[in-house]
Amino acid sequence: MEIKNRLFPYPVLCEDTDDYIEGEFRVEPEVISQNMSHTLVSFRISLDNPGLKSLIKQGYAEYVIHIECSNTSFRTVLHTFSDEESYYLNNGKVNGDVALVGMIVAKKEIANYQNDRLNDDYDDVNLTIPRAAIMAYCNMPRLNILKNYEELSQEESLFSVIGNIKKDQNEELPVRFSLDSDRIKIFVDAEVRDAYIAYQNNVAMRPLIWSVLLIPALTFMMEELRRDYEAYENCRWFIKFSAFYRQQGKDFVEDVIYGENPITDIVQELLQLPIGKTFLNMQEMIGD
Amino acid sequence: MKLCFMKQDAIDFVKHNIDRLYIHYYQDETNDWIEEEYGSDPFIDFMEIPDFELASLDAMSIGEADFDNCKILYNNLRNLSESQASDERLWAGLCNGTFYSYMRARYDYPNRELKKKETDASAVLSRFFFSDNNRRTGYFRNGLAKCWWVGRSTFDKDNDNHYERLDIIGANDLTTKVSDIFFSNTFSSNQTILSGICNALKYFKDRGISLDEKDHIRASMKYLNAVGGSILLDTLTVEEITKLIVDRIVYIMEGQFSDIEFENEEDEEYELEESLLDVSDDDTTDNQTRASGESVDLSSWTVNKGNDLLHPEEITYGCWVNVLDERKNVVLTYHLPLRSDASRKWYPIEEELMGLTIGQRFLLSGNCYKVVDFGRDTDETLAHQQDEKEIEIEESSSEKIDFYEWLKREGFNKRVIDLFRLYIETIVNDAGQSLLDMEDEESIQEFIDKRKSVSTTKERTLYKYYLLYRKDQS
Repeated sequence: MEIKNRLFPYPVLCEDTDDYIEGEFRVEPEVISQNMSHTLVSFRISLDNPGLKSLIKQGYAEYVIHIECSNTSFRTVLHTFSDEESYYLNNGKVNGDVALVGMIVAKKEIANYQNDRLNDDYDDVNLTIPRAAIMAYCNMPRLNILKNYEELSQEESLFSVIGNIKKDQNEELPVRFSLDSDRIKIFVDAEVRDAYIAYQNNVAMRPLIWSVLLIPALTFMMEELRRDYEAYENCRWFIKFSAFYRQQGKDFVEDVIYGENPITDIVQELLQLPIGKTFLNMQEMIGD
Repeated sequence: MKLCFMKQDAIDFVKHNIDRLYIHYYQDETNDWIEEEYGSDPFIDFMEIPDFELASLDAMSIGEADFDNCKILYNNLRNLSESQASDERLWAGLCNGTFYSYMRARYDYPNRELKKKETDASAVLSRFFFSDNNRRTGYFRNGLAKCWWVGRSTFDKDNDNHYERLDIIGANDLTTKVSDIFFSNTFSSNQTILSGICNALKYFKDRGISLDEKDHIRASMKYLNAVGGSILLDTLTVEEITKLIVDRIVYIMEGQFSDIEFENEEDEEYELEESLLDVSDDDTTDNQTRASGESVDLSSWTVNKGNDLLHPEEITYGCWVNVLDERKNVVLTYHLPLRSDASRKWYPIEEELMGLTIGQRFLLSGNCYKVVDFGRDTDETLAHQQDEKEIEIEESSSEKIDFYEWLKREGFNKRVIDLFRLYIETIVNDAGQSLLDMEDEESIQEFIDKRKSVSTTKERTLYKYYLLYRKDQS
């Protein structure tokens, strides 16, 4: 769950509305540790609104952390009155994106609700906050639990080469690319795919294969990302590339996607300069 | 039995070329064609599990088979994690491998007429694979995955009947219910909310009230989604969720509210796909932008008494019934149990009453009875009956029927019986003897005659029935 573009029949403290003239409600998640079975997440809650703080202290409201992974129908809420909370997320119950929302929720009906920081629009308005009302919220960055992809087998490749079945022998189709949530897909003729399967494990041939299939695929990917990277930032391959560049001390978005290097350079470096290696390996390939 | 998953490359290959390959599902009895087309073995062994069989398609309807398969698949694959069960490769492996023939039979591919290529290919995709990149969409539409996920969502380890929630949902219109309850609304992932939904459905089922899938269930789910726009449903109790839905459905039945209408092209797509594919589709929504549609008066949340339900057209579960015993010329009141109430046996006369309406007569044990009036029992009355049942069972096990037991069997409610008990206990004859201890008919009549001159109407009614009881017993 992520709260956006929602209209509430009562004032809500959040970034999207001006129901309150000042103050804020923030919840910051942090992954403390992660192993094969669990991910420990902590939540640091900060609330700058004395009126709401008082309601929580008196038991009229509480902090609620909403955790949901729609991929696996996992949905739960944590209730707390404390500024800090932590949760052991069972990795077997989630897969990929985990949405986190922090909220302040009314535990009971609050008649004649008043708050010093309410917008002037609420002057002279007799407010009743219903039970379970979301009085404040903060959408947190999503967690991404990636390890599950390998649960069934070790198929870690970011690329998938898929054969087109031709309508007849004369049909000739260009190589095409697409980006889905898990993999970068490369569509080739069925015969091309057969050849790819036959040679993909040949070490000498690998730079050639990378040059003719992966360089254009990654070029396609980079063009798409420079156009709108946000559409892909939860994809498995995006997260893998982000992690790869982070290890190099670079930010994938700032330094690579929006960096000054041309795409051709980025892609060749990513594949460890396969074009030159292809020519250097030609003798060996012919010999084979 | 070996469980196989399908290689990602093989899935990509079949899905990418589905407009050429879908015809195999209509024509090929075995799945050998997949390896021939793909060029190598498309499956990889995943795990070994004890053999099991899916529900027989010959012995029941498709809906009933799906219903049974929810239990069979979840029971046999309970050790799968949710993460594994959301993986397309697993279900593509089962649908195209181990259960290929079953899936073809389930969707009647051997006999199915070919229609439009796009529609036929799309149906194969959603049934044998995940139809798009959204896992949730995929597993609630895949022929086998949806059964596992419904089984998992409704499984209640704390209940003796682990699948009571599923039993309440029932086999009728299962695919549409799965779409409306589980797929279209992510709030049903919360077990408390799901329990509330199932309890609400049970409320009507117990009273013999049939709900229309679209007019009542889908509408109440949309309503719950709208309510969830302004409050956090996850913090409500099971009872509060139940109350919200029961009230809404009652209001719809009474014509006070119609379905919530949202202008949404996806709804039209939903209807179209549903009719084309026999499966439901809708955008997975979670309370987005629907908050302003309708507000809920939380201040008036009180327990529904059940009286708001429309008057039943005929006598059914959870009704009170006034019956005229024409021989004795007395009106007796019966309270029919709820459908799921197995705490006591039904009396023969109660079974006779089911389905009758005012004015209808029936014969039982040589007596002629006539239905005088009937209506819905309140929740309070039904709860009261529950309280009495343990005592009733104990007493009915004895062969001797005392006056109070006789009163119960005649349909008197507890309040009246208690009042009679009070009279009998407090009023004794000159010799200090209770009415129930008197054996001699003459003494009883004399005692009653004496009391009649000073007693209230209610007390005199007691004597009238006591004499009837004596007559019955003799």
